[in-house]
Amino acid sequence: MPTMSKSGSMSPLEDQDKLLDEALSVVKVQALQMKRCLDKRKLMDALKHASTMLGELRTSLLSPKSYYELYMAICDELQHLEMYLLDEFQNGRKVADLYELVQYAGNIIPRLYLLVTVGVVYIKTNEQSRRDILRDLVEMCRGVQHPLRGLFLRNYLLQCTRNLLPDLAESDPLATESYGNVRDAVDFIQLNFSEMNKLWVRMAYQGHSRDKERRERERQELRLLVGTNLVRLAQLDSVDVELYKKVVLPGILEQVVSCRDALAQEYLMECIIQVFPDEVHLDTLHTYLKACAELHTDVKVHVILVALVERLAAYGQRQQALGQPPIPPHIPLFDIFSDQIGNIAQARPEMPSENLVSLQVSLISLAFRCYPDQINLVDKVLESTLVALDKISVEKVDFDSSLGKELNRLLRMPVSHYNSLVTLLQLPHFAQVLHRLDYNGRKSIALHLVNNALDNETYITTQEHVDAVLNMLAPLICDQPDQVLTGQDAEDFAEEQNLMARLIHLLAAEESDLDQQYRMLTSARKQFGAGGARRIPFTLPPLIYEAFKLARKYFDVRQEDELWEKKCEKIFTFCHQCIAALVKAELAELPLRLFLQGALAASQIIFGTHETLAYEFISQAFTLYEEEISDSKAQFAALTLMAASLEKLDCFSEENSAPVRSKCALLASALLRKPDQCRALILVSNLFWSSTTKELEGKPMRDGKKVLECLRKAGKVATECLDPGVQAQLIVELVNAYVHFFHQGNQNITVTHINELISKVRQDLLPQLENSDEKELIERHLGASCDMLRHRRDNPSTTSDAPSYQGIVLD
Amino acid sequence: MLVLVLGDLHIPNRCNALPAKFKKLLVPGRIHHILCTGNLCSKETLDYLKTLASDVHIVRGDFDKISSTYPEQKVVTVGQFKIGLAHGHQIVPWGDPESLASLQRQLGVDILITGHTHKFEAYEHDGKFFINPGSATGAYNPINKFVIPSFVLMDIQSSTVVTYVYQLVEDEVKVERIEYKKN
Repeated sequence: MPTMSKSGSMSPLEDQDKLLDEALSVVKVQALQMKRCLDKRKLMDALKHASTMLGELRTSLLSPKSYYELYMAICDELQHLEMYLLDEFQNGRKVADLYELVQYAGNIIPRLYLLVTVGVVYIKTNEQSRRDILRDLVEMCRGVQHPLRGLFLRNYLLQCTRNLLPDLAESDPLATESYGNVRDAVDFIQLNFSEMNKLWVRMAYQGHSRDKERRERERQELRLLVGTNLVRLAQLDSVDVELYKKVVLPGILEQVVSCRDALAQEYLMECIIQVFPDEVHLDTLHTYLKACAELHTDVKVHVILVALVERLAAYGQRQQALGQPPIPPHIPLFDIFSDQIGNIAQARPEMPSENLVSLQVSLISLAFRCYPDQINLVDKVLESTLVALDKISVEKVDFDSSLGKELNRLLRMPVSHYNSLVTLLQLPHFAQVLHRLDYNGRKSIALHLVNNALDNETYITTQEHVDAVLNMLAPLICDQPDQVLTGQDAEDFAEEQNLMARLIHLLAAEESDLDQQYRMLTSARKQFGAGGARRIPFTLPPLIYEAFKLARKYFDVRQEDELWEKKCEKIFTFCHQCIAALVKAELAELPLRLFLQGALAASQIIFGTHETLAYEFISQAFTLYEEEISDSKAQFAALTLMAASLEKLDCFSEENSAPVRSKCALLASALLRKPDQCRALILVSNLFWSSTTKELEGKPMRDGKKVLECLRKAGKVATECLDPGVQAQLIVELVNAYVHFFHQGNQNITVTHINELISKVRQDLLPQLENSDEKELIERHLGASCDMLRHRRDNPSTTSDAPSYQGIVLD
Repeated sequence: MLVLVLGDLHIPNRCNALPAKFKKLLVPGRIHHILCTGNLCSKETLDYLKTLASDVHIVRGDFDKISSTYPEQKVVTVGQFKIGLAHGHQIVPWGDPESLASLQRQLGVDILITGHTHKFEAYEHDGKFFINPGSATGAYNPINKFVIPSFVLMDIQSSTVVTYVYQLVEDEVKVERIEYKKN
C-alpha cells in the first residue's frame, strides 16, 4: 500500500515511472522557459524558472534510481545557465550581486543548487576568492539533511568543482591566501565526504525495519556517490605520500571507523585500496590494518584484506618484471600482514575460522609472488593456520564444511605452486595442517599430491623423504581410524591404488647410492604392507620389480662393492617375502607369475646363492600351482608360463633341473582337458631340447629321445580326443612340432613320423569332417605346413648336417 | 591407413607411465587401428589407448588378468593384409622365429605381431612379415637386460606396409623405416 508520509517512503514500483514522467515533464517545460528568458536576457525570470525546475528535486516519492534520472536531466539543463552566466560575467557583469541574490530563492534545495552554479561561475571568473567560496559552499550544503537529497546535492557540488580545487603545493607561490592550496582542497573533499557518508549511513535508519533489506539494496546503488569523494582525493596531483599519510588517510579512516556502519565500512575500505596507488598503501599499511581491526563485526574484513594483499602481490610481481625488488626492502610486508591478521583474529573472536583461513590463503599467495625464495614464509602461514585451528575445538575438520573447503584451497596452493612433492617436505607444518582434515579431506589432498608427483615426475630420493611422503598419503595406503565405511566403487578403488603403484616407480635414489634405494624399498614395503589384502595386490608388485632392478644394478657394480652378493641375496629374500605376502592374501595367479619372474631374475645374476634362490622361487611357483590353482583354463595358462620360464632358466644343475622338467611333463599329462594336455606336452618337449643346465655351460640339452617321448605322448593324447576336428587340429600342430625338432637335427625324429601324421589327417580325419569353417581352417593350416615342407624338400640346404626332407609325402 | 602397434606397457607394475616423448607423438585422430600385444595392465592404460583410436584390438598378456576378456590370439584384416596378433608368452621358446612361423601358418596370416620379449623386431621369414613392437614403456624384463622403449606404426597402402619403429634411445626418439610388400 503506497504511503505518502513525510518520512520519505517511496511509492511502489508501478508508480515510480508515472511520478518520474511527471517530474521530467515539469523539468522540460521549466527548462524551456528558462532558456527562452536567457535568450531574451531576462536573468531574473530565468532564475525563477530554474528555481521551479530545481524544486522537483524536493520530492520524497522517488526511488534512488528514479531520483538519479531526474537529477541527471536537471544537471543537463543547469549547464545552459552556467554557460550563460559565465558568458555574461566575462563580459563585465557583476557576480557578487548574483551570489547574494540567489540566496533569496524560496526553498533550500533550489537555492543551494543555484548557489553552487553561481559560485562555480564566480570562481572561474575571479581566481582570488576560490578558497572562501569553496569553504562557503561545502558548509552551506549542510542545510540539506535529507539523505537522498543531500547526497545528490553534494554530488552536484563535487561534479561542478572537479577542476576548480586548489591543487597546488603549500610551497607553490601561486597558492596565495585567497586561492588556497592542496590542504584546502583536501579539507573541502574530506568535509564533503564525511557529510555524505553520514547521510548515506543515516539512510539505513529511515523507515520501517521490515524494509531494511530493500534499503540496504538502495544504499548499495548509491555507494558510488560517496566513493567519488575518494576518487577526487586520489586525483589531486599535489597530494604526496607525506600528506596522504598524515592527513588524507587518517581523515578518511576516522570517518570510516566512527560511522560504525558495516556496509559503508566494507565498501569504503575496499574503495581506498582501489583508488589510491600501490606505493602509498605500502607506506601506510600499519594505519590501514589497524583500522581494519576496529571495523564493525559484520564487516567481512577478510574480503578487504584479501583484496589488499592481492593488489600488493600484483604490484610486487610487476616490480619484479621491471627488475626491481618486488617490495621495497625496508617494508616487511609479509610480517606486517602476518602480525595484523593475528591481531584482527584476536580482536574479532567471532570471525568464522574459514574467513581466517582465506586470509592465510592470500598470505601464501603474497609469499609466492613477492618472496619467491622464502619457502619458510609459506610454512609460517601454515603454522599460524595450525594455531588458529587449535583455538577452535574441532578435532577433525569436515571436508565439506566452509572451513574444510578453505583448508583444501590452502593446502593445494603450495602443491600446484612448487609442483614438487619433495619441496613440500620443506614445509614441516604442511602435513600437520593436512592431518586436521577428516578422512575425505586427507584422501582428496593425497590424491592431488600423487597426481602432482606423477604429472611432474617428481623423484623421491631418500628414505626419510619416502617416509614423509607416504605419511602424507596414508589414506591411500592403509585403513584409517576415521575412515568412512561406505562401499567404495571397486573401479575407483583400483584407480587410486594404481596411482600409488605408479608412484612407487618414482622412489629412486641417486644412481650411485644403491644402499639408499634398498632402504627406501624396505621402508616403503613396511608402509604398504599395512594396506591389507585389498591393497597389496596393487602395491607390492611394483616394489618387487623395483627390487629386481636394484639387484641387477648391484650386479652391474659388483667390482665396486664387495658385499654385492650378500645384498643381492637380501633383495631376493625381500622379494620372496613380498610375494609370500600376496599368497597369504589368498592370491595365486599373480604370486605364481611373480615367483617365475623372480626365478628368471635370480638366474640372470650370477652370485653365490642364485641357484638356490631361483630353485626356491620355482618350487614355490609349482607349489602354488598344485595347491591353489584349480580352474582348468588358469592351470593351462600357468603351466605354459612355468614351462616357458624353465626353458629360459639356465642356472640349474642337472640335479635341480631334471626333477622340475619331469614335473612339468607330469603336470602336463595331468591337465583336465585332452587338447590342453596335448598342447602342454608339445610345449614341455622344448625343455629337453633347447634349455640348458649349469653342467652344459649354456649349450642346449638336445635330448632327442625325451623330446620324441613327449611328442609321442602328445600324439597319443590327441588320438584320444573323440572329436575328429579337434584331433585333426592337434595333429597338424603336432606335425609342426615334429618338423621343428627334425629341422633342428633331432635324429630321433624321422620323415616317417611326419608322413604318418600328415596321412592320418588327410586319410582318416579330414574325410570325417563336414564342410565347415573349422575344416577350412585345418586344411589351410595343413596346406601352409605342407607348402613349407615342399619348399624345404625341393630346395635342399647345402650345409652337410642339415636334415634331408627327401621322402616327405605331400600329395 | 595408420595402424599403431604396441604392447607390454606394464603400467603400473613395472613402470609409472608411457614416456612423455611418446605421448607427445601419439595424437588422437590420426591413428585408424590399434593392435596391442597385451600386458597393459590397467584400465587407465586401456582408456588412454581408446582416446587415440576407436578401433582397439588387444590380446591377453601373461600379466593381464585371466578373467579379462581379451582373447589369446586374434586375426584382424586391414586392407589387403591379414594380421595375426598374440602376446607371445605362449610360444616356447619365447621369441623363437621357427615357433613364431608355426603360429603364423596356423593363423594363416600375412603379418604376425607378437610381444613379450620387450625387444623390437621386424623381419621377413618365408615371405611373411613378423613384428615385435617391443615394450612401449621399456618395462623391466628379467631376461632382457637392455630394454629400449619402442612402438611401431604401420602405414598400410594396398599391398604394401611401411613400418616405422619409434625407439627412445638416450631420451631421444629415433625412427626407422622398414618396407614389406605382399607377393
